[in-house]
Amino acid sequence: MGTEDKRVLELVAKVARKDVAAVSPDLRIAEDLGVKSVGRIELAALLEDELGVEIGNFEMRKPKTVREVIGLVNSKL
Amino acid sequence: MRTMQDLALKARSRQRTIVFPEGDNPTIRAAARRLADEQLARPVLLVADPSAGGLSGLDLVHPASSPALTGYVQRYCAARNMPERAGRRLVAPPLGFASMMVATGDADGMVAGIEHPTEEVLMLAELLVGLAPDARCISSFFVMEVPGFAGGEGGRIVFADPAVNPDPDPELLADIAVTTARSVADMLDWTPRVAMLSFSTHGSADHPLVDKVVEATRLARARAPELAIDGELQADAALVEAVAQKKVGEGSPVAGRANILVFPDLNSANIGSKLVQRLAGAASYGPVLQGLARPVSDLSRGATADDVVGAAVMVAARGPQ
Repeated sequence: MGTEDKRVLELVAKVARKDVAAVSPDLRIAEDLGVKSVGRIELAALLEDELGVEIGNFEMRKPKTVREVIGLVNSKL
Repeated sequence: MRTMQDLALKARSRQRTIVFPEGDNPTIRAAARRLADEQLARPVLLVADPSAGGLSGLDLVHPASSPALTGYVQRYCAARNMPERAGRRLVAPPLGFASMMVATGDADGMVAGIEHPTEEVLMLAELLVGLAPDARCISSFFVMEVPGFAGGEGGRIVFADPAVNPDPDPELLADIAVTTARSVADMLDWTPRVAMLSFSTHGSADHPLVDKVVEATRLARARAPELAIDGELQADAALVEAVAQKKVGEGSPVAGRANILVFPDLNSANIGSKLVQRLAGAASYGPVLQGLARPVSDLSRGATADDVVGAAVMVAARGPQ
């Protein structure tokens, strides 16, 4: 897992209000981590701020798992 | 029209400040002009260029150069433990800025959505304005005026939730019922009589879909024992006294004279609303969003100036006197 991927995990953990050790790529954003739609737009803002990737609020609805968030970020790096 | 006339009277007496984040849109500008000229509300338009002509007498705000922006960002970041730059990305765009105006009380309500998808309006409103303390979700209702219908509230009736929650579980359905009852009492000054709709009346059918409505009814009553809520009820038992007598008997404060219909899911609420509009020629007002700490209205992207004025009047008619 690259540096950016680890940073995505940290930011997902931040919006999920969880320890980063409790966040793994296979977890589902909503069901497992409890991140609602409002958390997704905060995640988009954090990803843009820290990694420079621009993800629209609407686009951020799509990923179902942490792995899919990582994939979305990597597709824009 | 009666509904809008009543709400316009209320709005005029309250003179609410309503923020429009899409203030450069010509339809929004035309509606804001009417709201101000007819003294229905005090519109604030968020615009890219406050020196643009043709908007004399209207309050114009350019978010990026507004002295309020820094305070809004700081307030949001402190509340959500977010870094300043990320907070600015959310709060500085017009939709975020307008939501913060509402959250801080700088505006009484927001009307948005003519250039934004519903989901984006709802997400930012939930994040920045927040849910009302007693609400668990954002939901919606229509006020229907049905020609020739003598029941409900003088021929008018409320349908919930036709626009937001696709498949609410019993807890959310109970929340929709209680929130709608309180919204209707506040906005329309009715005494709510809430029917929890199903294809079964008081145990006439046995099915998990019925169980959901039975449980939602129990939860809603437990949460708001002061409200008249009955279920599960078929639509005819909810609306027609003679049918209610046969299917329910005596004792229900709701059966046969419901003025609020809570549908079990978005399919039924949306389909039911459109059938009543198209087949019965009903006028419908809404969807009115509810469950937020302060009123927000989501416009259709095809909204006309009349629609925008109506949405703003409904926002302005809500909340304490």
